[in-house]
Amino acid sequence: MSTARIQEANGHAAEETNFLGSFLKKVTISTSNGKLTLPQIIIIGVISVFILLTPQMLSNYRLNLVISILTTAYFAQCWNLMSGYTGQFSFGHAAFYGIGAYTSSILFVDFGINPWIGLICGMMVSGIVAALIGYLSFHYNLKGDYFALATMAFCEIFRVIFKNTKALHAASGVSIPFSKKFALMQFGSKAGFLYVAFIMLTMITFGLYKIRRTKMGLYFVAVRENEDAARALGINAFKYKMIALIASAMLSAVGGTFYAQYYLYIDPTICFGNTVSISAITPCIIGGVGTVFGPIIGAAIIKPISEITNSALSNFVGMNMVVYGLILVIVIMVMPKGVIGLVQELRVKMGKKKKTEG
Amino acid sequence: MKRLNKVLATVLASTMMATMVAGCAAGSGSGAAGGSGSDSKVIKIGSVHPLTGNYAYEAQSIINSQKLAIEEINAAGGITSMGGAKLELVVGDSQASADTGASETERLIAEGCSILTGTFQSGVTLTCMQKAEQNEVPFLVTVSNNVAMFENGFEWCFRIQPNADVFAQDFIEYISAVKTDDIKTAVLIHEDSLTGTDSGDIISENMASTGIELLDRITYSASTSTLSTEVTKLADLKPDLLITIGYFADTSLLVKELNERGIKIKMVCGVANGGISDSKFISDFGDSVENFLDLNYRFNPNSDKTKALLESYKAKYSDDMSVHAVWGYESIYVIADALERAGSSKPEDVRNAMKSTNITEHVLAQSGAITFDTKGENINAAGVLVQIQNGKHVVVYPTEFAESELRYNK
Repeated sequence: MSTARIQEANGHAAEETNFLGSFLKKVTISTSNGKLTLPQIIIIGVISVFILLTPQMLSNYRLNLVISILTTAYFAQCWNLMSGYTGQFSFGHAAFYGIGAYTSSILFVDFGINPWIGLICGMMVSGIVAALIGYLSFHYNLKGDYFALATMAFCEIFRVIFKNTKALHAASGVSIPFSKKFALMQFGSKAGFLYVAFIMLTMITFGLYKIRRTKMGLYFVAVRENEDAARALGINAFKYKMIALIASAMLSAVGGTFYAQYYLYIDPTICFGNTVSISAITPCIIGGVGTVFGPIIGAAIIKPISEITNSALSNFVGMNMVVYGLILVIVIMVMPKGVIGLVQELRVKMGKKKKTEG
Repeated sequence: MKRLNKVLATVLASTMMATMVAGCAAGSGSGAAGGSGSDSKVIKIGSVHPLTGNYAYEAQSIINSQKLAIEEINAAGGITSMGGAKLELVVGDSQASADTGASETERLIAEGCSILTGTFQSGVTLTCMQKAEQNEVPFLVTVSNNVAMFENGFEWCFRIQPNADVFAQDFIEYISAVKTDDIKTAVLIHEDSLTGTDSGDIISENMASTGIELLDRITYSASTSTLSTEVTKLADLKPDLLITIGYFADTSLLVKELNERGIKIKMVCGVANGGISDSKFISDFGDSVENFLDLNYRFNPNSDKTKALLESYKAKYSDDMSVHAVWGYESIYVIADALERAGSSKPEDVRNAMKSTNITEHVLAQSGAITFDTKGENINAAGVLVQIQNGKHVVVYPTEFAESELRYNK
């Protein structure tokens, strides 16, 4: 058997046993191309104003929760851009996040380079790494589960490298000195961080909303829905997968730098741990994979739930995790396509009713 | 169609609003209970530890001992300089993750804690310390031995336990004193996080001064599920002395693997090893860990205060008190002492009082008082050499604290 044939055979086998692929098909929602309606715009506006006013209304601890909702939503959006839109399920987004965090932190602590410049450098490095990972994976036609495992493996490689390289501070991690200067990308108060996180989230969401209505956005979705069909129609699937991956990686790096500047301490597990990659995925699944607002809604649901279970059940050790897990399981059982999917299903049902009534 | 859009929008908005309101409501409830510190009769002490995950056992034992200390203090009349104010422990679960630890730190501060304690893992501790610094609330480290975290010029953080430097230097000093001539080679095996790496670095740099040749240094991840490859390597090297730095779970894996293959080593010595110094370790492995050594922090076995403490811990929790738990216990006494002198539970007053701590009566195996240097480190912190003899931990070196003579494997 020639190697080409073996590859082909493998490819078929892969498609049959492609668990993640079928899962992704199950959880993604066919993209409706409708514009936002006026009431939707008004509601988004009201929520935005509400978020921007929270520093006046909430304690520092509550602000911390709002910031973590915003940053989680941001990181989930980065994942959504690649995995939700083009269907390339990544299990190792922590790699890009961590590279962003490490690049800016090491440049700042060891070389005295301003974190704002570090942020740009982090994006560059992350983009290059993504290009490399993407080229290797897509060139050899890794799909579905295999691609997910490859991204996970790359992420683990980075964790091990960072943990064992002295020049990268090894296991000690990087501790960033605390200052209150905007120039050093530390915004003094919680409010400053909140506004920056809000701007980051708004920009990426706006971008995702716009991109869906462009040709490129349609190509992304075409690749996700049926790559072979898309190819047959002349879409360069490799190119669009690369674009989505690199863009997603560069934006994830921004999230990493933000984390480092906010928490002021990073180490290899904090940056490249599996939990980081998962934290990008859960909000999307809860809210709705491949939708513009799904990840935001997902983050706005799971973060408060985990906080509430933490504080309400702090006297019963371990119960917080049990309850949090139960809630997640129930949510996924009731709404396999996320909150947005459920809402759309309801819409369809009500539409049918209306028709029969009419 | 328009109406449907409206329905969609309302559902969307109500979900988001409901969750946010729920979040805020939960916060304001607990915030109100916190009160404003100084006049209240209850002083809150925060405690952030990894109660779920790999270190749950150690974390729980620290919390237990903190609660025990608080009960003792409250039963003895509370903080007398504040009209007999009572102490209360507010518990946070870091889930062994840095950002959860940080957000739990913020929560405990919002609930009105005058001082925080934590967190067992160096990476998490550092993130929590950063948060405490920013919020200007003092932070007393219970267990975490990383050296670098007190090199950041923090002004609100304190640590009673010896750091990795002290451990490693004490190890080099003690092992030179107790080694016999037939111990010529050594292998160092440690977990690769902050905790293991710090001491590992210093030991591998200074091993030459003990006259023992270091053959190799093997690292592994503490969350590993097998140490098979590492032990194969170890078996080939056949060292006379095995130095191991790790937590409970991974050290147990190491010993299991050694036992299964029947590998005998003349001397096994841990450095601040979470396994060897734990009584559960002996009940798990019995005779096979007889004569294992560990250089670790410990309570002073010869003081009456310690004996009473060990008994009351066992009576209350029907478990032997672990070495880590001692630091939870002592941390509460250090805090109570600071509160007594400050006569206030305002974080700033507590911090200032902490700075002039000088406690001579304590349960620790260190010569001299508990007192902090400008960085916030306990000046007299020291380790002792502990050995498992007849299924019990006994201190064998330095002689000041020794309960028994060191035994050598034949």
